[in-house]
Amino acid sequence: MDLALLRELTEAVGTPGREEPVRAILRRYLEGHVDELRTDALGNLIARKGSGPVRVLLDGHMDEVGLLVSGFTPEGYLQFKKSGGIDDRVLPGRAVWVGPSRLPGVIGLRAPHLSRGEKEPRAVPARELVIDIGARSREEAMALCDYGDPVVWATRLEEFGPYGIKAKALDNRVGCALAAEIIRHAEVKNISLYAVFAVQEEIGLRGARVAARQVSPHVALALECTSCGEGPGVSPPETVTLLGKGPALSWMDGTAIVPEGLRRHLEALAERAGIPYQYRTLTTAGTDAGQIHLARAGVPTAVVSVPCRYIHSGAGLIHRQDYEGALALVRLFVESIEKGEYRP
Amino acid sequence: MKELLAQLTAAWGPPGREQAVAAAIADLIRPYVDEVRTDALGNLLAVRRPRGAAGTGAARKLLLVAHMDAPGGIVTGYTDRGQLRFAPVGGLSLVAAWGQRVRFADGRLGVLGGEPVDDPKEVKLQNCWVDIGARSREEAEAWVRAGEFFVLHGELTELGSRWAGPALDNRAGCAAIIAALRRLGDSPWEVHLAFTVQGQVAPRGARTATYQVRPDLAVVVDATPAEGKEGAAARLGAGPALRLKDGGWALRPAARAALERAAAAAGVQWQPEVLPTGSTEAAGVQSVEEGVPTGVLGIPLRYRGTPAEVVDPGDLEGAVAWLHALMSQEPAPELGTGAAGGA
Repeated sequence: MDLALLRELTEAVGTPGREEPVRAILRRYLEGHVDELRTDALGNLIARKGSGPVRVLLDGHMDEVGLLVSGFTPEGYLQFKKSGGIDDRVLPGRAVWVGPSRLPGVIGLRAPHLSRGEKEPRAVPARELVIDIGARSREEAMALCDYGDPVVWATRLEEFGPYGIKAKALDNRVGCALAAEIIRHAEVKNISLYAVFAVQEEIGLRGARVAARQVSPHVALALECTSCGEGPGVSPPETVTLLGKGPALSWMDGTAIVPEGLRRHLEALAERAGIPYQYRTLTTAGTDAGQIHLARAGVPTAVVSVPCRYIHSGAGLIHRQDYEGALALVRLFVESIEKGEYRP
Repeated sequence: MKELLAQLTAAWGPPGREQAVAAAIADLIRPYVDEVRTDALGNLLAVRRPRGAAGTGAARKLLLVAHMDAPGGIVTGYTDRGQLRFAPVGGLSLVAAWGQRVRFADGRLGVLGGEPVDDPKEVKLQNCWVDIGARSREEAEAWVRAGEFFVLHGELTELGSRWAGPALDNRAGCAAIIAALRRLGDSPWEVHLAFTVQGQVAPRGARTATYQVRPDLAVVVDATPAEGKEGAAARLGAGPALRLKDGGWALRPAARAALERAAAAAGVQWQPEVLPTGSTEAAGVQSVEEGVPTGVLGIPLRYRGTPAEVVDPGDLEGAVAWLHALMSQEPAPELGTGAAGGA
């Protein structure tokens, strides 16, 4: 795996609709290594390699859940709204980066002596919270950032333990990194391999919908980072996935049912190559596959995910071997179509 | 009709796994259509070109849509006692399915059950399972793989002057289209049939099928709740329903005129219906590409999502006559053109 790429991608600021920094990194990584590289009207980055008749699409969305600056208080605090699904409980007291230049800030927390009298600890609603960037007035704050600026967790990627990778935005810079690594190094003659780095997945699968229409693929994979509910007292199937058991294949979710034949092909490839894999046992939530499979006359679409603990929070945790397994499996998938072993 | 319905309700087909239903329908309609094929998502699509004294020029396209899938579930894991953990797929009613038989693709039976409860409100997914009679987890794992789907098991039976059985939502709709097709003679339309996938879940197959057809008029044939809560107007036995509006779609004048004209020609007694919530595949069909004039023909049905859904033969016969008249009649000139948008 290209850890430098994943580091750069996860540390970039890229909330829904504000994916520019992520797109710039991917452009730089792919420029000169693919046959076509373009950005569409909504901001999707679409790369193509090869010009064969069978079109294969690998999708990874660029956006991460985050916040956006919605106003300024007279005291110089930033008001904010959520952009994507974030649990109120993970907000207070967290260090954040504001804007593409990563201005440091912190989400304010009621001082201990003020909350002592409360009968029950409660999740403070997001609307009661503000971000402190050290400004002393509205004017000072507005000189440092703007309405609509994206806000993300101030988290650097760290390797920990023999296999762990901790970072923010693993959902879904993991998918971006997988698609980018694969298309950059792919050698294809018989197929057209597309990588779509999609916008606005977290708020409604919006980029993938229009990108899939442009590419009109014969088969597609959504590459994702999915929830792993491991923790004390949680056992399968409630864990949904397990860290270190390999890439997770989806049966279905709230937006798509994966065709059985396509999933079985992925399983056969993994088994032949000795790549461990697992199933994502949750049947709800959604991915870009939900829109890709409905493009035009319909597209058989599967989902390959890397399990992630503490997803949609300030620090997710993935297992290096799950990433490596996903990378190997998706490479084999592309090869199987290139060699004509699998005809979508 | 009962024989056709019995055959269709016996076919195994939860959402996303409709191949057996598609195969059964393909065999039934092949003698009556010019083309039949399955598409990338598993929809069964058929074309019947115009017959009789058709006018010159390109024929107008009429699309009839009915989803093939029935409510079911998916196995997500195992208990230590050898039962299957599962999640519902489509409109499976846990309360109604509790204690009922379910069936897997290979014919294996199970019983949907769970911890004993006194109050139906306590029936929750977390305390339910599917019991396949395995004596251990190992046995269960060997018999049924995680990720396999099941449907509600049952057979079509007479119930007084009505019929009861599983999957009547929407094999009744499929049957109505097939029966109307069988007796169709001359038709000025290029008639397209779409037996669609995943309609229990969302208008998925219907959307991609419509994209491939680009019809001038589409009619979705689907089961509709009879005497349900939320003020649903349809009554069982009062004839097929002409839906005026639901949570995802509203009937516009051009499609309404075509449907009312056909009903009058066939002498079909129909009932108007408005659903405040819920929707059919029409919600997806109407907004494909530039937009499609779309109607919904409802077949009243009781006890939706259970192994004993009930329909009335008279309602079904009315739907067949109605669809037959619609396919037989000249399309109104304004249908499918900008003029259908009205003033």
